[in-house]
Amino acid sequence: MKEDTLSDVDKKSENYVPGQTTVQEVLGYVSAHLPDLEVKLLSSRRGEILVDHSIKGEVLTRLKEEGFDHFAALSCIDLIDDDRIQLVYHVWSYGSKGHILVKTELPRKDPSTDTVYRIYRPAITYEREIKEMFGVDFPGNPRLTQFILEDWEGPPPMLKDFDTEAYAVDHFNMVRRDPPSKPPQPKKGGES
Amino acid sequence: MDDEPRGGLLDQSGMEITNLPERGFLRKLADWASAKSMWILYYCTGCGAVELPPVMTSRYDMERYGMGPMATPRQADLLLITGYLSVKTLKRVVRSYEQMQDPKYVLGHGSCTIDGGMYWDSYATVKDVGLYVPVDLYLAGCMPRPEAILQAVERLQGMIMDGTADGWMRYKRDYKFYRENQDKVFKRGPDWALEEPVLK
Repeated sequence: MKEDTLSDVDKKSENYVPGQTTVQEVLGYVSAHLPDLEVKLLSSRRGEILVDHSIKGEVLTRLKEEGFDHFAALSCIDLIDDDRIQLVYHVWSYGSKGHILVKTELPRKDPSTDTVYRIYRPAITYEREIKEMFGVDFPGNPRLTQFILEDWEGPPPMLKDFDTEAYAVDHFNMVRRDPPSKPPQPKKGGES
Repeated sequence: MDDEPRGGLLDQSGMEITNLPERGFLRKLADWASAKSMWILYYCTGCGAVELPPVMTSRYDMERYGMGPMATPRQADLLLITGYLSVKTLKRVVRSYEQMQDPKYVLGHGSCTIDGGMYWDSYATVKDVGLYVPVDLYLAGCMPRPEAILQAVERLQGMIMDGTADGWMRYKRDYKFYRENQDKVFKRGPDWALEEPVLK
């Protein structure tokens, strides 16, 4: 895999401009050379790659070399029905104005994956937030300290089995004022 | 919450005080003066801060009431909490409040300070600010208009002159109650330099 990098392939084409690899080119390369990775073109300038969390660093390194050098966000989804946690690394290319979502999945119990801060420096803060809100551990991150939730001792609050109302009643002496009939709650939310 | 037993009045050595001083002429004069010259410390959390520029500037012109903005808690008289407080910001509010000089007043601004408002079931938002710092007056609304702020300030000035805006005394008298609630949601680190307030 090392020799046959994405850059080498692209450089053979006549239209190659450094740092301007488009989303279609990346996805085309991945589906041709790495058949075990699942790719999907979401729109003309947005695509997603589903990778195993052990090789996400490699994939992100290549994407950065191809011009996807802006780490836009790291988001996390609690797929409680499938007993999984999904991490989405959003990277953006200013050259081709393309947006790639690198998705990876972790088990819901003790989720842990390596940090990517050596590739994208801003990931330090994003991982810090995900650690606090979802309990995902990022070994290697130098700054996984308490972030927004100061003096927090409860479970990670963004997990879907966290009962936020019960926590509020317990911690803030909340006076419960239930409406006569609760409006129907949406069954699921936040799933891709 | 008012029916619950609270801590007694404590003096410097922690003993209970039973004889409170009468509110004499000089006290009344001082209250009148402080009601008419309030320096406000804005704790601009949430969306309430948006209502303050029109109050401060020429449209509503709060200087008519002798009020002015103050940059530091040590010289402010009125703490205006404009919106929801998370646990992290509550810690800063308590710290700012404890730095203010007596007499000091707190105005809870907006529904969020009363019961959490639209964040009524949030894990991060404090529901009733009055459990942690003594609020003299709550101002309902989401958000209150500048007219409502001015009305609240007029009301507070009346309360100060009547001697009923006694939040700063309640904080010392019922310190155990406030401290218990504060300890329930945040920890005081070793850098928290202030000693426990006592009624002088």
